[in-house]
Amino acid sequence: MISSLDADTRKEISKRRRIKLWDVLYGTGGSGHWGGSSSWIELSTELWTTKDRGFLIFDPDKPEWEERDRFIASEGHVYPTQCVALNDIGLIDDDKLDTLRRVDFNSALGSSDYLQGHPSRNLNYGIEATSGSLGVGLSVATGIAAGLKKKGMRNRIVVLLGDGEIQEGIVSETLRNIGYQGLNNMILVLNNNGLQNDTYTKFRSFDPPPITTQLEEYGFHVVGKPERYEDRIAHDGHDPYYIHDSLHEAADSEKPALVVLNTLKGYGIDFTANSRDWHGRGPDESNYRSGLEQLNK
Amino acid sequence: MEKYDFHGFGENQSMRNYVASNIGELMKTDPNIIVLGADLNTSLGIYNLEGEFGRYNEYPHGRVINCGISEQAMMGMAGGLAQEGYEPWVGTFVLFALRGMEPFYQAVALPDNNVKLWLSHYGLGIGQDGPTAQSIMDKGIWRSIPNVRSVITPADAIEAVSASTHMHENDGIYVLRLSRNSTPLIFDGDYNFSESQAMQLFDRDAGSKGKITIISDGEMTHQVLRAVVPELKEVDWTLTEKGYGVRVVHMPSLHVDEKMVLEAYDDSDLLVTVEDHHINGGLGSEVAEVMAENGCSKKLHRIGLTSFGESGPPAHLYKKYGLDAEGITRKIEELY
Repeated sequence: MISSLDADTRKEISKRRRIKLWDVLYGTGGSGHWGGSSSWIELSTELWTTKDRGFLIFDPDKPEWEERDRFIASEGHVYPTQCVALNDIGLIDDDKLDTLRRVDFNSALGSSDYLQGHPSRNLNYGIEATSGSLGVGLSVATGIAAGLKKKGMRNRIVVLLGDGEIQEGIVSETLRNIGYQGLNNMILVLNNNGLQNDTYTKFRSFDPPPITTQLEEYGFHVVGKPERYEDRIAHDGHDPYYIHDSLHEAADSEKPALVVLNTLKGYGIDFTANSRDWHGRGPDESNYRSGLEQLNK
Repeated sequence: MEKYDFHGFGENQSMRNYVASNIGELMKTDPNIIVLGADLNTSLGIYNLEGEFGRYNEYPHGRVINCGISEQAMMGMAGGLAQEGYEPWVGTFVLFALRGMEPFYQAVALPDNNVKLWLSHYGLGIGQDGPTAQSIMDKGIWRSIPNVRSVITPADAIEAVSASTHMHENDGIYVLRLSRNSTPLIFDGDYNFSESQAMQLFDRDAGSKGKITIISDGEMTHQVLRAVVPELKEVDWTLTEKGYGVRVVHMPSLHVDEKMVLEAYDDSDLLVTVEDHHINGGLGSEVAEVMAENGCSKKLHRIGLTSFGESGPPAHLYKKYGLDAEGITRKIEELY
């Protein structure tokens, strides 16, 4: 159970971050991916709770510290939540956060010195891997995990995967490798929000995604179970107790682990929640204020 | 342009075997080298490295990672390993590496991760396996990706080994393309591969019909030499004997230094490129670009493929597609 910071405090942190995310995406001119980004805010609060606390261990003053835990948003389009979380704990300053999706004319050509539309590796901002094409971040994370294990290091690699993303072939290839190479330093988190770019996942593939049995056969420890939106009693992926306990159960396991979080895309605002219209966009002038009012409640 | 006097073919040697052995030697001196394979370990010579350096899935000190038949995952994993300070060598067939192209683009090239690709089986030269396995377009892809330092198509085992050592000694992304076939040695053991360098192998001005410079890479350099050098006695009438002045320039790496192209162009009446690759995108295109951008007005002809290949013994395919010594000679006579 949560001991270091109580659930109410975490809810406050998540609320603050969700408002910030709404603002940041509004500032990009309504681009970005509000739906998926919003669906893992509570996870971000567990991963990076405050500068000194949270599931991930790192040294804010030494971004290249080799023993840091690694986090990779393999569903790279939702990484603005990571930027907002790192801003919230003081690692990315406000000016830098405002560079998201905007050209910096002073940077070199091909630069990743500011925050790109999808993650571009830059350890100063805690971005471990260039990702965005679905499944690529997972494969890079797997190489990182293999390298760290080779060095005999004990840090953890946490990877955020989308429930749409796992339809990609590279995900199948990589999951099998994680099992076969025995990379028990990896914790995968499935953000099961039931929606993908076009529509609901059930109109494109299986819903819930059939992944847990296969991963158990690959030697994973699986925490939780993907549920269809219609069958849920609650969205466990937004419950700070559940997230905390699940991640720690995964960390205690001797195997590679999968944590399933059943989440809601566009969580926090009624007209964005579970809506297929809110995958690839942010707020604009017509909805910014009404959304903000709901987030502030 | 360096001059390297061609003095006849040596014995047939497999580039693949020699490069794998050389990687093994490099692994002994540098513990950071990791080898990744996708179930073509017997073809690439990785199998021997597995025995010597161990399999990762059996214990983490093992330095060969068998990714299974999973080129996409392999490319991404190579990117991740490089980020942890390792030097991953990825070995597979050229065409299958292209299955991992997008992860390569994003997880290797964009963050400039220090990954070395060592790929075999390009072009018609793979022979009987046929067009589904013949990569005839990959040079055009590799050379248009930023941060890929060089795409290397060596002519023989000595050059391939030297190129692989160069890839290890220099940080950055390299693509080494190896022939499936054992090819006769052209270079001596003291040959040193030099990136972007062109090698003049032959130059004889005996002819009255003007000067032709033929630029080639990989196995095609052998075919060009057969078409040109009378002492080889490989064809009845070489271009030299037919009265042409001919210079043979081997250009194994893209991007080529543009000075090399201009130097080759300078006193020639006709430039010809020859490659076992589509005429678009590879060596011929690169030479054409340099010529166009420098206002060169003389004619360039690109010999290579303009269609998909087919199945058959490599020598028969080279004959049918005009990529053997006779075909190259015939084409040049038509042009001139």
